Amino acid sequence: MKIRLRTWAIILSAQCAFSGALLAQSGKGASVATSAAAVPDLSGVWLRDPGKVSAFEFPRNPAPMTAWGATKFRTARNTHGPNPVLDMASNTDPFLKACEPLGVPRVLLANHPFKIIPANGEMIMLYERSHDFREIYMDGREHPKDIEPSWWGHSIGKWESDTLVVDTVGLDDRTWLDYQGLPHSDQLHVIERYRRADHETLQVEIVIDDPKTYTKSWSVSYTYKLKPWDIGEEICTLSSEKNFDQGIVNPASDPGLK
Amino acid sequence: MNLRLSLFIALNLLGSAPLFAHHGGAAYDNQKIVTLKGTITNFEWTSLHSQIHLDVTDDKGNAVHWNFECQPPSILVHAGWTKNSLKPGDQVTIMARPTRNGAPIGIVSKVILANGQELTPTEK
Repeated sequence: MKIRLRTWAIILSAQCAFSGALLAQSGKGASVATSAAAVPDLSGVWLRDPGKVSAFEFPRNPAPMTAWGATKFRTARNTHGPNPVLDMASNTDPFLKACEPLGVPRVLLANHPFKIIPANGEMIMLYERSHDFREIYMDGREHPKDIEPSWWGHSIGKWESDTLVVDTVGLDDRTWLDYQGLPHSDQLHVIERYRRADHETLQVEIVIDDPKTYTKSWSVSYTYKLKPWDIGEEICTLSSEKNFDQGIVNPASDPGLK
Repeated sequence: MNLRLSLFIALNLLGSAPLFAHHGGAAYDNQKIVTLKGTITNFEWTSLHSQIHLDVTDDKGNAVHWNFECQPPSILVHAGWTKNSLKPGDQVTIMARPTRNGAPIGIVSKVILANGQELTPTEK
């Protein structure tokens, strides 16, 4: 009898320990998968399918701008947009002129691929243009209070059913939203939703929420296709821009030729 | 031939390739394509833009040096190019959109090699 009781005790305590371990795993950090099948697999190299939309620009006039936003937009001069400059030397694009980071969301408009790498407690995004990365923290943390703006901001993510929802704040207002030069403030709040529609297709919705710049939030949806590629090296450098200025920009911008 | 028809024809010549002139954009004349036959003097296989240098002899026998913007290697490799696709001395035909200021500068739409092979900067 005694032996039987001990045996039961061992069995019961083993069961309790096992159940406890399962409960602990499914507690905080529930976004981290406990098995491969628990969350969708977004990993891979993805290239935006331009379809019929411009490869580099959000729509024209996506939402009414505030006075602040409109003023800022007027300072942006590029060879793209509703009032383009007709020579490359006049453009004020911080990326093309000064190799400053593309930031969020502009990096998603590049005609270069990006790679999604699921890692412990985060998703890592590697962008071919311009050899940049983002960390999307998936461990349940909040954004820091009193966040200081940075080029890439602070991104946290969670799963909503089959969709990865990424929330980003703290974005430096020196970046442009796109190649037209659409403006944003440091109050910009970007929400991205990534859903793998089928093995080859990633649907991405980008929501722009910036009441200092736009009177209402607006969104776009893009399709990305899976590519059997590695990420290449594509870095904006002072030397690359100087070489391009000498070879193309300056001769193409000389008004004295016609 | 009216402007609309010319534009229609020009756009169809380009096929459905999206406008890749992210640096140049409106600085290039998007309603015009020039076709130039000449000799490669240099092919700069570089990020963020490759450059193709071409010596062209015009109708009057004058040598004009053209320089073309092209996509960077990270894009061209997916369209079948290598850094050796164009070598100094190669006789090629280049179709490009020229800049608006009349300079011998353009952005490549297509390169046709001496053996007839066509290279385009976009992935097929």
